Order: sequence, then C-alpha cells, then structure tokens
Amino acid sequence: MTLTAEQILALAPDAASAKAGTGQASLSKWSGLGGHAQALWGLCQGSGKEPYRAQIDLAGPAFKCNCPSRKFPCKHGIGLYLLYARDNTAFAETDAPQWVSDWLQSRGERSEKKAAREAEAATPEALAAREASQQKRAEKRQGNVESGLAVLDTWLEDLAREGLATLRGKPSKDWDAMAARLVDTQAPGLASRLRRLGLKIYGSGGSGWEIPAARELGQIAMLRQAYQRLDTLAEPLQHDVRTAIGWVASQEEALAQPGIFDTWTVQGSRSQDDDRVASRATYLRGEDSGRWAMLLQFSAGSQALPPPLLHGGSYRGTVHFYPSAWPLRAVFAGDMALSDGPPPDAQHAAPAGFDAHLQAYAEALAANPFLEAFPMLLDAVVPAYDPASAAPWTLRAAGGEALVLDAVFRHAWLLHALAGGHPIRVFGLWLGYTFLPLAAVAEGRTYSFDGGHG
Amino acid sequence: MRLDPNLHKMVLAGTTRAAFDAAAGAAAPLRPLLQQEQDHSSALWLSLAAQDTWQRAGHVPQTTLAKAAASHAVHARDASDANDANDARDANDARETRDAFDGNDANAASAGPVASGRDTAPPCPRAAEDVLHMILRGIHAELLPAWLDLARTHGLSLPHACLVPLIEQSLSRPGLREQLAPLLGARGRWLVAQNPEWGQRYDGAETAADGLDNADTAAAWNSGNLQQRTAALRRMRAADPAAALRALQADWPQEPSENRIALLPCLASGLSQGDEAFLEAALDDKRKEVRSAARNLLACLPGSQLGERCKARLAAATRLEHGSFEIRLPEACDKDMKRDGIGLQKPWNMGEKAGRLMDMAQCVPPAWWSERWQMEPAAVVRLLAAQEFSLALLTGLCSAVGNALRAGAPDAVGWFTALLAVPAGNGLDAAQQLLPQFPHLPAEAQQRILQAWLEDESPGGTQHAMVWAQQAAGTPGAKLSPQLSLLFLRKLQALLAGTAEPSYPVRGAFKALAQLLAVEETAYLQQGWPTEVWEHWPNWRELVGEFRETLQFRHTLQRSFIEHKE
Repeated sequence: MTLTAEQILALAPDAASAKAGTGQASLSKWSGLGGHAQALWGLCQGSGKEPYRAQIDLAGPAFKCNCPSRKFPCKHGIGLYLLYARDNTAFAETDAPQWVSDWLQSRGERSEKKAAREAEAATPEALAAREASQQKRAEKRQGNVESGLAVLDTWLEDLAREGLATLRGKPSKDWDAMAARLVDTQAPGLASRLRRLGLKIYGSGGSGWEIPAARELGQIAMLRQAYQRLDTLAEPLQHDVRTAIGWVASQEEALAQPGIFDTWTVQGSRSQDDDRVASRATYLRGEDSGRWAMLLQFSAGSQALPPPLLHGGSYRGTVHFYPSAWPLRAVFAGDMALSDGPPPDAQHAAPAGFDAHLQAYAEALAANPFLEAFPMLLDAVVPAYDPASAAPWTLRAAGGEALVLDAVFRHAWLLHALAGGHPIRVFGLWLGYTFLPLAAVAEGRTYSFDGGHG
Repeated sequence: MRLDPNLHKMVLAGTTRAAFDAAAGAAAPLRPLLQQEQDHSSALWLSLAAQDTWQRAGHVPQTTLAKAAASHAVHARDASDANDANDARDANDARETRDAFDGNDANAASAGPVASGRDTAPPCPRAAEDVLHMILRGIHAELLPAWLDLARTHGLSLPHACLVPLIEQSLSRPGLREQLAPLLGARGRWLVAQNPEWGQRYDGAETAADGLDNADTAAAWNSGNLQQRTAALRRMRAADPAAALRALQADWPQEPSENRIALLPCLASGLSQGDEAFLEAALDDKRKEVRSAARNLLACLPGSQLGERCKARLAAATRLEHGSFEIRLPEACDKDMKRDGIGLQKPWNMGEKAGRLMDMAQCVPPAWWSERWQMEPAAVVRLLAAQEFSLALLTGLCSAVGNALRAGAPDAVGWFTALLAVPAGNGLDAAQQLLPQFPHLPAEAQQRILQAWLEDESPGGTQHAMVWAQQAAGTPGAKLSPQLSLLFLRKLQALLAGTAEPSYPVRGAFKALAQLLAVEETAYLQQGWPTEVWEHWPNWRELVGEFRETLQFRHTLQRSFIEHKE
C-alpha cells in the first residue's frame, strides 16, 4: 500500500520537519535508492562527508536514519518516503544492503525477545511475586484516592451551596488547587477533567457557560458516588469507573480477554493535548463484526506522538478489548498486519434518520453511563450551514433530521466543501448532544479532520 | 443539555439561596429516585447528572424544514428572472429590485438546501493535488500563482479539499482572488455563496470562465453593485464593444461621479473610433478623474481629434530648420488646452511650461514625429534628447510609445528600443518608464530584446534584463524559453563569480529567476557553478542551494500536471 504525500507529511513530527522533508524529496540529493516489498532505503548527502543512511520499514511504517537529528522521523525519512510516493521508478527493486537487512532483522529479533520476556514473566513464581507487590501498591493508592475524594466531596458541596454565579469572581488558582490535590492523591483522571473544566470556565468570557459546567460537575459527582459504591456495581462497570478516576488498565489485562479476529478499517482519529501529555485515539471498525475498537497512543513532554495509523487503511488481525461494560478501548494482538489492497468498501445501508445510531448510543449509555464519546459512522448525511442559527452547523439525513455539530469542530467549511450539499459518509464521535466529525469519505477518498498538523 | 429554569436558578445562586428541590424539572420516572436523594450532600450535582444521562439516552434530533427553505430559494430565483425581464433602466427601480434580490438571496444561502452543481472541468491529477497541499502548508508558498496558472492552462478544476484554504488566503490578496475566481468551478462558487463574508469579497469577481451567460451579465449590469457592474461592463465590452458602449451611454446621465470614475476605464479594451464622440463629451465632465480617464483613452486612440489638436500645438511649439531645433514654450494655457488636460498634471521635476509640452507629447502618436521629419525613430529620439527640454519631450514620448504598444502599432517596437538606448540622467529614466510596458510587446520582439540585453557585454543590458526579471516574477504565467533561460543562468553565474558575497540586488535576481527559468528539463541548471573549493562559496552556498531547490520544486510542480500516477 502506497501512502499519498499528504499521509506521509502527516507522519512528520511538526510542520518544520514536513517542510524540511519535502526539501529532501529530490532525486539530486539521493544515491543508492532501492526497495523491496518490505522496506525502502537510500543514501542522502547531508552537510557531512558520509551520506546518511535512511531506511523505512513499510509495515509500520517505521523509520531509521543515522543522521544526528532528534526529530523522529527525521527529514531524510520523510523525504525518502515522499520521493518514493512521487517517483517510485527511481527505486531499484533489489536485495537489501547489509545495513538495511541488519536493521530489519534486529526489528524482528526485538519483537521475538519481547515475546520471550513476556513468556518468562508468565511463570507462576514471577506472577505471584508481582501480584504481591501490586496488591501492596494498590492498597496504598486506594487510601490516597479515598482521601482526595473526601476533599472533593466537601468542595462540591460548597460549590452547590454557593452556586456558580460567583465563580468567575474568584481566582482560578483556587479551582486549580482542587485539581492539583486530585493529582497528588493519585486520581489523575478526575483531576484532568476538573482542570479542563476550569480552563473553559476561566478561559473564555462568553455567556452560557454555566450549563455545560454544571453538567460536567454532575458527571464528576456521579463518578465519585459510583466509586464510593464500587462494590455494588457489576464487575465490568467497575473497570470503567476506575479508569475514569485515573487507574491505568494494563495492556496484559486487555490481552487476557478473548480476542476478535476481523478486518479493522481505520475510520478516524482524535488527538488531544492535555497539559504535558498528548494522546491520540484512533477508531477502527471491524468489517465483519461491526464492532468498534479504539486504540490510544500517548506521548509525554515535547515528544511527538508515534506515527498514526493510516486513515482509510485496513488492518487484519486480532483485537483485544480492555475490560469495560461497553468495551471500546483495545490493543492489537501480534498477528495484526496492514492489509494489502483497497479497504473493503462496505456498503452500509443509508438510513433515513439517526434512530438506529441514537438507539445504539442509548444502549451503550445504559451499559456504561460514564461513556463520554460514542463512535458513529453516518452514511449519506448532508452538512448544512445556517448562519442565523445558534448552532449554525448541522448534519442532515434524508428525512430532514439533523444532528448539531460540536462547537469545537474547526473544519466545518472543509467538510462543507467536500460534500457540496450532497450526501457523504461522515465518521465522528457523538458527544451526547453534539457530533464531532473526525473524518469524511467523499468520492471514494477518506479525509481526516484530526488537528495536529493544522 | 436543557436545564429546568428552577434547577438553573439553583445552579447559579446556590442551594442556600434558592429553594432546593432535587427533582426539579426531572421526568416523571426519575422523580422518586431523585426525591429519595434530596438530603444527599451532593444532591444538586447528582440530580444534574441523572437528568443529563436521561436526556442523552433519549436524544431526539431536531428536524429541519427543508421544504420551506427550498421554496424560499425558488422564490429568490424567480425574483432574479423578473429582473432580467424588466427593462431596468430606471435607476431607482433597479436599486429597489436589487435590494429585494439581495435579501432573498441571503435567505436562500442560509437555508443551504441547494446542492452544488458538478464541476465541468476534469479534476487535477493526484500528484498536482499533493503539490498544492505542500504549497498551502507553506512549502514554496510563493509558487501558488504558478500552480493556479498551470491548472488554468490545463483546464482542470481545483481539488475540493483545497477550496477553503485557497479562498481564505485570497481574502486578503486581491491578486490571488482575481486568479482564483475563474478557477472556482461549480463547487467553489457554490461554497463562496454559502459564506456571506466570502461572497462579499467575491462579489463581481470575474467568474465568466464557466456558467456565466449573457443573462447573468445583464442582470449584474442592471442590478449589481458597482464592483459587479464594472466586471459586467468588462465582459460586455469583450463580447461586443459597441453594445457595451451603448449600455454605458444609456446609463451615463444618471451615474454618480464615483460610478463614472470606475466605469469609464472599462472602455480600454476594444477601443475604437466609435467611442470617440462619447469620450470627447466626457472631456467636459465636472470631475477631474473622469476627464483624465477620458483623455488617457483618447490618447490611446490613433487619429483621435485630441491627438490632432495636440499635434497642431506641438507643431507650433517645435521647429526643425536646417538641422537646428527650436522650441517655443507654450506661454499661455487657454480654455481649449485645459479641456484637453494640458497642465492638468504638475510634475515635480519640470517647470509649468515644460509640463505642458509633456502633456502634448503624451497625446501624439510617436509616428507623427518620424513622418513629420522623415526620420527613423532612433534619429528622432537622438534629436529630442539633445534639447534643453528633453526631459519633458522624452517623458511624454515614452508615455505615447506605451499607448502605441498597447494599441499594437507596428512601429512601437522601434520606438521602444530607441528610447531604451537613451542613458538615464537629467531626471529621465526611460527604462523605468517603459519596462512595465514590456509585456505588451509582440512575443517575438520580447524574445529578441531580452536576448540582445543578455548578449550585451555592457552592464546596461544585464541591468535591464534583471529589472525585467524582477517585474516578470510577479506575473503569473510569465516564463522564459530554454534558450533565454540558459543565457540568464550564465549571466547570474557571471554575477556570482565576480563577487565575494551576494548583494541585495543579486539576491533579488536569484529569487526572481528561480521563478522564471525554464524547468521542463533541469540538467542545464546543474552546470556552470563554482566548485566547493572556491574561497567565497560558503557565502553563496545557501542562496544557490535555495535557488536550485526552488527550480527543482517547480520542475516537480510542472510535471505533476502531466504525469499520471496509478
């Protein structure tokens, strides 16, 4: 599967790297270009004496280059891939030179070693030892979280008594102090929700803020109550509550769940920057099972997120879901591979309205009332703009029903341009009252609306 | 989320100040549950959470009145048809209809049920789209006009995904807007009409490329705003100059001065003797700007009465007898002279009387001089250049040559080269005055003159060539033949070889030529550069690197339109 220039540029860690990468995508800079089904490689003359060796494992895609750049992938990797996309005849189909085959082999070995380490860690003794130390840590954390939530109780009570009207008159640092307290007491999930809410309250001068704010406070209070009564909840829902409070579920836990084998097509992704942690949620749909799966990627500090999965691309293999009352977050099993050929063009029947989608949402909400975002693939909807309306952007179905687009969606005009007033397929997240588009398919092409690279 | 007014009050004022009812506004099945939690310390928040979840689970999408909106659009269409049918001569009547039309149109756009038509032009190749994405990301953003020009010459439509950034970039760049407007296609025009802010900017833009028929033009002329009417008059003038003149003449008495100032210059295209009577009359207009526009047009019209009058005045003021040239400056400026715009401009670098001489020379075709004295243009120029009032005479002559060039006079090329040979000095810079007219020369003459400059060993030729390059780099569609490109490149390399580090003008020349050199074939661009061992190479490396990179990108850009990737 060949990527388009746009998809390749999306792999660049930032706009400057994308620009530098295009500068490298010129035949005059390269020698020794070659490739086979698995990889591409070439020598790029930089400012040093020896040319840099750039190589790409197409399966990832994964990049390697011996230049000193700290950007990843570096401009040479991006340039090499762009050059290939532009002019693949320049790449001689040959056996890989030593430095390429060594790298590919070491990549293979690394994944084997990882498997071996996992096997080792699965011996009964190792498991028992780990469980004991985990138990201890968990108990300590439990205590911490309880104390933090007790403070949250009082804080919420005060807030209810005094009302939200006077809130903006108080310094925002009081609010942040509550969020910081939750971080200290190891409830980062609630903490970041509270911080985000604080930004909305103090960060804008507009009116009408109090209803969404009250709604979010309600959700936080409901989570807190659920945690207090955790033992009375069904086991899968306990996972959802704990995750929302801030416990991080381990990948092993997910891999221990039975897997689902299918062809998973990437429908869209959503990147978010929360304080110092960036995350990207990528949504896939199982073509046979009709199931949704969401992969989460993280990066801390100034690091760029790992390369995204290809929008519109298909992966064939097994997916394991994290335990949840409405399983969504998932991991790929080792057998997952980029599927060759075009993604199956599933012909979903175009419904006249949104009944089936909203019904499915209601059922998901019944299973997990803490569900914040619900993936929806809407067939044959028409984006419409009405500047006179308070919510100017809607998606309309053939029957005249309309879903309001979320106010944070920044690419409404692009969506409008792609559809031109005709029905198109839109993927996105239903946020309870509004819809956030993440991708659209127009005339057979998938367009992503995920921010990141503007 | 819909919030019950009582609950809303509680949220704002706090439970201590407003009577608290946990079940306020809740649906019947929720009430007993919430009443049970009335005394809970977080009862307010829990009630909100329960109602929120309840509402989300039962969300019913809004329904739109698609049908009503559609009928609105049809109504607007009817109104515009009615406009066409009406003989909207009466300005007041037209204005009223126009307002009504605008109002309805806005409603139709806001309802948005009308889908865009199909683009008639084929889509551009994916490779070209990829290049456009890079340009819009800021990679060689300066090549956007070049990309658009290629799309135009290949007759392709714009990728829909790029319409929004293109339109947005064009909002603050009128030149880009002008270039983009005819390329928008059905989808682009539809999109622009959807956004009131964009629609306003694109009002009256040249959208004649596809879909705008005579009826649309007539409607724009009769009921558009000034911008739309100016564009409509240009289109009418291009289609049928005489009919366009009749339309303008018919409305002229009612047109306010501002409209006259904007509309009159539209007659420049298709100018003929048939326009003269109307333009002559406009010389009596009460506004200076209208008079001046009429005079400029008449000066471009060979054999015009204005030209004849100025010829007579010049004939009286200058005399050549037995090889000696005499000038009698026009002492007084009578009413007739004033009417012909003589003395209207007051140049800072010459006296009042000399200025009158210049104004006369502007309105006289250059051929008059050579016919009068039976001299070649070069001889006339030499003769005038030797006079005390050479600045006034030659400045006027330059302007007259510019008019002759635009009118396509066969002898204009000779005058052009003769004037450029006059060395700059005494306040006269013929090159600066004439080079902007260069694009009006016949293509073959352009080629010949550029080649002569580049083969000229004196610095003057190089200088003219570089000034030309700076000027041409800003015009979309300007390009050089492979032969001239090679000559230019060698000149550039000669400039480089002689200097330790790039000066500001040399940087400008590199930048301009990176936009102009032929890139169908790029091997020649690799040759003739100094090697790495040259002592000054470090000063030049970056500039030359950028130059070559830009040319390489242009090569890719150009190929992307013809190559088909599978």
